[in-house]
Amino acid sequence: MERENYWTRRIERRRLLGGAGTVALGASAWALAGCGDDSDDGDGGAGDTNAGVNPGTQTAATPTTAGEVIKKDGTYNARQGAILASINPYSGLDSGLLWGFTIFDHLWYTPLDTGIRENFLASSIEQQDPTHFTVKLQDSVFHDKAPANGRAVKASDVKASLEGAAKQTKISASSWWTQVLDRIDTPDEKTCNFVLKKVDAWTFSSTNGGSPLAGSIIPEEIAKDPTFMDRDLVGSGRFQFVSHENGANFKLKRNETWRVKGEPYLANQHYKLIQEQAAALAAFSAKQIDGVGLTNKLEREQLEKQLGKDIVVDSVDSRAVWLVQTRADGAFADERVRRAIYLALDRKEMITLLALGEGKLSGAVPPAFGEANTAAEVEATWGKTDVAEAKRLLAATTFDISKEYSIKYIVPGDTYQQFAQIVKSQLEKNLGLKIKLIGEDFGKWLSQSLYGSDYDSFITYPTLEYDDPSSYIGGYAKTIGGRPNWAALVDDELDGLVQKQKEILDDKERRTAVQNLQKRAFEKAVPYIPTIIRVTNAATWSYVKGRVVGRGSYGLFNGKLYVDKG
Amino acid sequence: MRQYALRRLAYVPLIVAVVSVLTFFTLRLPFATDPVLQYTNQNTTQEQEDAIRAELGLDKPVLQQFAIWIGDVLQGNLGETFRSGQPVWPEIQRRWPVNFEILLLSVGFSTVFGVAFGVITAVKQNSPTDYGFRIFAVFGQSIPDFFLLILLIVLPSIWWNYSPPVGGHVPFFKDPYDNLRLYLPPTLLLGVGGAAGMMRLTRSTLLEVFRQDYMRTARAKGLSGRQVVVAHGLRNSLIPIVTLLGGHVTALFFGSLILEQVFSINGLGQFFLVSASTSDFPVVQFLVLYSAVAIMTMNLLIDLSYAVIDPRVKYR
Amino acid sequence: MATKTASKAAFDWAFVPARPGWPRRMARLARQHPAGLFGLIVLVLFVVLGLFGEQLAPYPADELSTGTPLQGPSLSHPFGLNQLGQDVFSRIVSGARISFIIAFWAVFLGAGSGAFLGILGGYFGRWIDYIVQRSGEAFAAFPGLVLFLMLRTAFGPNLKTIIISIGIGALFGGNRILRGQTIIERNQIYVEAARAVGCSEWRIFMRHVLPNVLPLVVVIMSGAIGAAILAESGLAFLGLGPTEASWGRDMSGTNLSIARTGYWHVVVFPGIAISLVVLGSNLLGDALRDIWDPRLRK
Repeated sequence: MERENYWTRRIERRRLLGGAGTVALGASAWALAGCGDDSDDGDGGAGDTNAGVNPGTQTAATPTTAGEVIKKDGTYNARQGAILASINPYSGLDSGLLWGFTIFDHLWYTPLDTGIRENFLASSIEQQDPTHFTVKLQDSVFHDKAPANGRAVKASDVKASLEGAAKQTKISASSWWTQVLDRIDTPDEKTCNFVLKKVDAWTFSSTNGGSPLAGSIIPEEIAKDPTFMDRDLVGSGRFQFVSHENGANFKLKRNETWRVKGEPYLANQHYKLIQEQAAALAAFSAKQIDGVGLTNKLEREQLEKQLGKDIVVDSVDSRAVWLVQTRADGAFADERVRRAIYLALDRKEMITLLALGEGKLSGAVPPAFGEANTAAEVEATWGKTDVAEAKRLLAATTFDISKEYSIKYIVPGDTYQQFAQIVKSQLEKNLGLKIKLIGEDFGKWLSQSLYGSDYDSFITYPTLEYDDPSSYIGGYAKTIGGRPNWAALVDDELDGLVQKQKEILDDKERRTAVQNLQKRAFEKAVPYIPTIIRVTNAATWSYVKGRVVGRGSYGLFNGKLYVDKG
Repeated sequence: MRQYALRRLAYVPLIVAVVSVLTFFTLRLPFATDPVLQYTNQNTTQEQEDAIRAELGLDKPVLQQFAIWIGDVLQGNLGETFRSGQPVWPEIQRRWPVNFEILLLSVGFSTVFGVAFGVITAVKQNSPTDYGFRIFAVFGQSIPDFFLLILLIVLPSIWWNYSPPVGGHVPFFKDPYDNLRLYLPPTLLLGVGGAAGMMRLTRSTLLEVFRQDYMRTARAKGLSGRQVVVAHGLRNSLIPIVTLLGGHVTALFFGSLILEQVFSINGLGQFFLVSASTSDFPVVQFLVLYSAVAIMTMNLLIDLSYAVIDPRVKYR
Repeated sequence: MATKTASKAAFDWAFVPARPGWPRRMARLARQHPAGLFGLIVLVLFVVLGLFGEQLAPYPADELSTGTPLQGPSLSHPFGLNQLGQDVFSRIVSGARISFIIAFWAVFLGAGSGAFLGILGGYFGRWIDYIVQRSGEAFAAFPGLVLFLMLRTAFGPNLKTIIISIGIGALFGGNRILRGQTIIERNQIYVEAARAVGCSEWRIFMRHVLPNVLPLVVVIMSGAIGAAILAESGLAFLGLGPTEASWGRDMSGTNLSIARTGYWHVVVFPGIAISLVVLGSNLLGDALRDIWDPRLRK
């Protein structure tokens, strides 16, 4: 939680692309919609990795028939679920990601599925010592528009972009940008020397230095005056910005001078504003858009029945964990109180009701580390429900059940409300509490209630989909991004463990350290209570070829997708 | 009459001022939502927060903020949006045609159908036609707009795999076909829904007019039924109709929001909604002001039209 | 007894036949206006549910898993269950409260006082009209939605914001229509005649003008109930409605997308509840107008 502004990203993205429910888009839809895929097959696999992640399924291109001719004149029509208040990636929380995956290039990226850093604009990355590394740049040019006019990307552009992004307050940048990154030196036009203030083993992860949002490379001229991006966007990414209509209905075209020759295969990307899910499904069926996220399994079944073989449906576990956050002070300071709440939440009922039966128990957040445990272990620890024991524990404390408590959640958004409703009902039924629901507008909820710890008992939300563990376990530290712990959790042991794992550069050792930390966190009943993970469903017309599916937002950087409507 | 009109006109600026003050200070009440919250993240320091506040012009005392804003507005400078830093006026201007078209078509349909059906049902009072239309009207008024609009998307999709065009506003003069394909069905639906009220009003006022002595006179002097209705009846029931028409325009001023939402049209209603939910004060302030001026002008015209419709109406 | 009645009749300016008792008169009215009776019954039911719905509902509105989620109507759950396994029937019965609160304020704060001010202003003109019209204009400049969005910007989502904006919308909506109508009545010949024979302005207003515009007040008030409930459902659809269980909320959001996949009962029953009350209020308004306005009688 320390790293990326998780909550922001997740929710804004839902607004941007989802329309209904939480993020209900699978890999395919994300691939072009512009945001990180949150699929999660969770079967383990590729061993230890750079980011210390226990990875899920490898991403893979969808099967193509042999001898297929690639069409390079296609237009992909994607759904845009909400209007962007601004196209400027620095002034909107929502626009940054969309452009990060399309218009802007990045030095490197660390896919979620492999956790292994891959060079993008960087031709090589060498780490001299824990606080210094050098990045050499490939040849690349900016889009042929003012003010860059197709000139080459230089080290000074990188410096201006990244140092500039670190100063922005309106974008959701992790605290790595303000607390770890010191400066970038540029001895020549193709070399960037990164200087860090302190050791951070998570430097290259996709929420930190590898962020598709803050790590976007923009021309120096614009980086010095980011208000330029209120009007137009110029980058060096795979696609070039063409037009928009008041923050909606974006048109992008292929960057013919993209540094990967012959890519991208798509000639255009068009985003179509469709706010209502019913309208999106109608537009999808009429082939006005090529992919659509589905709200639940009912929609999936209906669409499969209606369109059958002509569409491909991807159903994968979401990375978003529905979380119940309590406080760690006041009435909740007693570990037994928090444990009682862990035990009183009936996660199986949540799966039945919230996810219509399609979901699973969440282990420690992030789930990648939960997956280190078997399903049985999860059920015995994080996912355990024992109402009798919960009542017994609570009765032994001084917790006042006659008082009215509250749950703060986000409006609008039916699923947020449903989740809060379920939590309320379960706690009332199983522990005899009295709870009031308080819906809050997103901005206030995030900045004031969550970041500002302005809630008196509970706050509920889906986490951003899994990225790297540092973000979540940061929530156990005493301070989160320069602010006091959101849940007022002050625990010297956990804080020490959080700080320590950041300095372990060896992946294998760090992974063990993180797992130990999570074990301790569970034993101490930390106030972040994971509940369930839902399944995301997405449908794509089968004429969309070359998609990359599977876990990991790597698919978003896929230039080999094409549309063969023929 | 001219004096009355001038006096009313002179009053407009005063009311605009009242509206501005009300809006401006309500948004800035101490317990209201703080817009700065929209622009901070977990790393934001107090100094940065102060800087954002200063940048948005919210650091000064409220009275001073008001003076600055009013001064700017009087000079024709509506300020810049908080979120995108763009001048407010062009943002409004670009979205305006969308609302204008929705308003024009919906109010047009509701008036035409409402008055027509109202006349028919009044002339054929207590006939099966009358009952049929009245039942239709009463039911039409009982179903929420959004539900009808959603059905307008869902049913054609299920029956014919048809979807209204997506991808935003198409100017009428650029592509009349696509424009009407997008706007005609939903505005017709909204219009027919609105027509119900208009029809009931037209019917009841016409029935009253029919019982007036001059109607009997008109018939006695040999005018045909249709002539009586048009020449005397309608003219004499115009005042309530015009008044209701004004109500429709007011209601649909941003009420087209639901239509914009269902049909994904990015108009002023959406702009207002997005700005309101992100505490974009300059936009909210201006849109309130804008609707105040427009609606007041319209109400003034409606009041003046009473005298044109019915010469006996005197303004004091 | 008989002499007393006779002498009274003789004394009065016209002979009035003894009127039947009110139950019989009511019964006759009900026979003559079956639609109005229906509207009355619906509204009475609505008021009862609005006040006591939470006590009458078989299940608490928010209780989860009262049966298999999304199950259709059955004997134990007459309107079926929603995604969370909540009893749709209980939610409609309890959810009436929110609709009732909003409708109540819209009618009494809004249409009631708005109508009063409109008539007063329309008839007397001068300073009453002046004040009412000016403040009316200031508020008319805030159509319901504008006022609502402005208040919501400031205070965030809550029920009071919704009530205030819908109520004020009703206030000045009724005001304008009645003012227009009163101006017409004011200029009728019978008013001038009354003035010519020396009636005081107040008497003309009370005895001649008011009875002629009151039917319209009733129509507007009955319309206000319907408009308020529809407005609430519209806001709920936009995700801006009350956070409590309400008909509008149950008819939109996730329920709407679930209904699309075949579970129609989750949306249709709250929809029927909304439509029924709106229908009832309109029918009652029509009937009352027919009854009170002799000129509309057959």
